[in-house]
Amino acid sequence: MITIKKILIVDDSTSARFFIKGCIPKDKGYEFFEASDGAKGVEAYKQVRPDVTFMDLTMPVMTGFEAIEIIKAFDPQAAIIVLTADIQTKTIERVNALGITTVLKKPPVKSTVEEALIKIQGI
Amino acid sequence: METNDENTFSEMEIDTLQEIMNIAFGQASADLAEVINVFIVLSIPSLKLKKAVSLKEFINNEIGNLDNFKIVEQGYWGKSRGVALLAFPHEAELELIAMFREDTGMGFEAESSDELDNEMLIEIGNILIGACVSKMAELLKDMVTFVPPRVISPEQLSEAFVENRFESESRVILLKTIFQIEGRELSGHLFLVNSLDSIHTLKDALREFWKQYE
Repeated sequence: MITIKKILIVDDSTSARFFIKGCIPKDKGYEFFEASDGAKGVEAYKQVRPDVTFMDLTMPVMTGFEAIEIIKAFDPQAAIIVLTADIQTKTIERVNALGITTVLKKPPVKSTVEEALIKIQGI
Repeated sequence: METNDENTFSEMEIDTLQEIMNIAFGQASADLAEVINVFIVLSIPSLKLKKAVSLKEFINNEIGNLDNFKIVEQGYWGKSRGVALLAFPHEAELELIAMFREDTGMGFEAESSDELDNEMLIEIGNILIGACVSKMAELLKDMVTFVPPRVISPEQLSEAFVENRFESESRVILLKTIFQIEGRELSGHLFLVNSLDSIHTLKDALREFWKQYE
């Protein structure tokens, strides 16, 4: 069972990061960290060691696919939730092949984000 | 969430509109990938405000050598009115048509090769433009009605084209995204051109959209 304290949000869009935060319960005392591309996301992951990471896929500098690969090589237990506009079947298959089982489609919805967090906590 | 000048967009408004187009084009790509066996590599959309009269020049600068392109044009209206322009370089257009024909078996009844190509291109345009514009409208709590799509040549993207749709000296909202078909030298550009008359409606819709996350 994982206790979530730190949440990292990796997305190039300021509003997308705002939307995700808006879907996460405010009364749990989570600490938020943000990164605006895949490379910064990897860097932030190594520094912060978040309990859960929300990852976009289409980003400048480094895509979410590449960032997930690096993070998973660094920490195979990393809990990553992919939140993407790219809902092609092949995209989901590729994300699954990287060991990610939770893929949410944009825009985020409070109930599905909360369910994904509960699933990660193994409650 | 704060907004600023009522006649232009704040950074957050621009970012949200780009994100909404990103989501909408993601839906459109998934729809096309269900019809033809392709994987579409998405890019990050951009938004600009331009004078309507400079539309052709802007598109030419964005994609380079517009004369080598074929364009599917489709008008729409809801709370705002606009036109979608889906542009493919000629070689990409032919390859995409061949893939579409192979995977759908459609269009064999057409009389001429040009007619057949245009038919296919209109179908592809219908899927991408229809899904993208409809999804954007849905997210912004709007409903759009479409004019049937048609294929136009770059020469038809003239001043008269603009004057028939917008006031030449008025500004328009230009949303653009580029997409590529993985594993092939094949890319296309989608431009959504909206009248700026709708800016206040659009700002209101964005405020409503943000509310669900506040």
